[in-house]
Amino acid sequence: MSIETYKAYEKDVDFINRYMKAKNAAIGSEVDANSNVANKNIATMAPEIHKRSNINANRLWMYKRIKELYGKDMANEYIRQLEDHEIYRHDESGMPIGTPYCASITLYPFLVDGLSKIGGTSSAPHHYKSFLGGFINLVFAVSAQLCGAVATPEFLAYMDHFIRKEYGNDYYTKPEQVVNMVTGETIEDIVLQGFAQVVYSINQPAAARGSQSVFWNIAYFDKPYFEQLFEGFVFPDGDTMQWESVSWLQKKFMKWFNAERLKNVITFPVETLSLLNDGKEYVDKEWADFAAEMYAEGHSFFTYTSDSVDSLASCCRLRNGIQDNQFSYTLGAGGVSTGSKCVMTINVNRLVQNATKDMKLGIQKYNDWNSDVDKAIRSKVTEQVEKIHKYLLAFNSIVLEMRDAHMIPIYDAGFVSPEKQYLTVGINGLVEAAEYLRIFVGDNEDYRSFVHAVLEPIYEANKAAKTKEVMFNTEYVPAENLGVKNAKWDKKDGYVVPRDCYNSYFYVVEDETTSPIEKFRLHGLRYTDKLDGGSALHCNLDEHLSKPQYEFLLNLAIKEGTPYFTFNIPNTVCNDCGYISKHKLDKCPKCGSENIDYATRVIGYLTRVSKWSAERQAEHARRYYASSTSN
Amino acid sequence: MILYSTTTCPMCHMLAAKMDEKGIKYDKVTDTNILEEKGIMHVPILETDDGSRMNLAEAMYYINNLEGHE
Repeated sequence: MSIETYKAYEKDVDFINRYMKAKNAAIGSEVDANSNVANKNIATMAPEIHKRSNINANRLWMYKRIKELYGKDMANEYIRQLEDHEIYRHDESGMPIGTPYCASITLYPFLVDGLSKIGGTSSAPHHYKSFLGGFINLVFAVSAQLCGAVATPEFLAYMDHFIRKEYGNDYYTKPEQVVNMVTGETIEDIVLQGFAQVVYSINQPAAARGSQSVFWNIAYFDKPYFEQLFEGFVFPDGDTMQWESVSWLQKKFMKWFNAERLKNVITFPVETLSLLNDGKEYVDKEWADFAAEMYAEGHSFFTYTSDSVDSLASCCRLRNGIQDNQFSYTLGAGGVSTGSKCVMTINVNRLVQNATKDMKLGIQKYNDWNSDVDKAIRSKVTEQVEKIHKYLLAFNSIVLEMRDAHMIPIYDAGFVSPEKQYLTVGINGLVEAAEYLRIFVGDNEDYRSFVHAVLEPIYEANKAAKTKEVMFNTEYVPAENLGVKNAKWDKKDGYVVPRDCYNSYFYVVEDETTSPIEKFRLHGLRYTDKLDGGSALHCNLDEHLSKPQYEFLLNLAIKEGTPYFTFNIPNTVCNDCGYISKHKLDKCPKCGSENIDYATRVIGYLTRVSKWSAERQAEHARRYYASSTSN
Repeated sequence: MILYSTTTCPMCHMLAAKMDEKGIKYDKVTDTNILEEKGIMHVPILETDDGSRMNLAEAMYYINNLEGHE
């Protein structure tokens, strides 16, 4: 064999040389950069080399399956749409074809079978410590079978069960009680050690996923949601759920996690608090008050609110006819036994520009929303969503084939069922498409009409295509990479591109004129009622608000029907002494160093800005953090 | 007895396994249309021959105390 044989791999050697010199792992990555990689090293480099091959293999398999199901023309159209960047299939590069995207799992099978049915040797946990250890292994094992996040909404409720087994049902009333006479440890010490064990272990980079830590989400519930989700619930040993101690444990975890983030930039878990409202106020006032308290103390978490207790998925509740919009945002938690098998995202900016170009109408005409534009966009979206449903169904058939071949043990073991996971139509470039049409991106009728022209046809198609076996939803995807890619591709192909990273929100991220109140409105019911998979409002602020101010915004969420939101205030991290402040500062308040970094949410998860890709760092530099005194 | 369940419910699987282990005979209904017609919005539900219904906690207690099935 001559050296010529190996020259085909010259590009890999070149890539390795470039990667070694890159400033961070995200910048070194040339396909699907990800900020969830704390350090650049040989383990993070290894999967990067194969990303292009993975994409090609994924496309070939999809081509064959689409051809088999819908004919050659549709298969060719899939490839054309991907190559022309009209659509994007998420996570083509990292995992083999047929890997489901994300899942919110039930932990029940873990209590019955341990890890034995997903390739492990641990049997069901019977004690607090075996629960904690087994749970960590479970999260890693489940994540290895998914491209994206794993949510464990029941984590704290199950942890509570095991604490009660060891220290009694009233443990939460006597946290100061010493339970280890040798060390002097109290019940509270044992609980906090459990938190630390799980959180620090799960944030450890996992070699199986290119040295990213796993994407892990948890949920907190108010009393009404808790009672609805766990109605009739019985642990395998006959024990039932106990709200009072779970509530105490949830609060304890939030307080602990907030304080711990002063010691380290800890990315996971992404937390979602679910609060039920009655259309006017929060039903559980104690938990609404606690949410405002935690935000005021500088904790950053997502809040989900709805006036329907049925809006959260459950492994064992039957959904009723009222609820079309079951909450299942890929970044958050909330419901149990839900998720998404695959996300394919429409490049809305390109679609809208193509739709109007086909009509040979110049953009100067669009000063006001009009029926021609409305009709053209709806028609193009309808045509697109019909195709995307077919692509998603083809992917679904591959997932089911994998399941039937027992290649996805989390299905066999009952942690989640494919029927409970959505097939997701993503959208990106919505704001940029509105700007192209000369629509002012803000709370106004033109923008609202435009948003509905895009979302309504997808919503209707999703509803019409729903069967007992498959469900579709639509999500305003976080698009950590895609926002950058679409902007780059569109600019190269001559489309109008107003910025180098498309927005992930209904507002323009750098716009200083959109107030926090208007942002809540733009992510509220008037705009998102046809977005059946959800969007996340990131209310970026330059400083923390007071508790009454957060109470006002929490109540505003009810008024505007804003279901899912968080507040981002950049934390300052000193690169010299390691001090972390919850405030956005110009220099370290402890040592005075100006060698500082910030930690904030790149999209849904919180990391150091210096770990982001170059384009995302540029986006962060433009990102507007509203003053706490703005309206 | 009738066990109302769904194919995706892990608690249903556990209850069914428990009943199988005890040798209790039962019919299983998993059709969600039938469950909804009967007003069952949460599973598992165990219905005894006299028509009374039990949730998982009640069903576990019931089958654990059934005479002749130890």
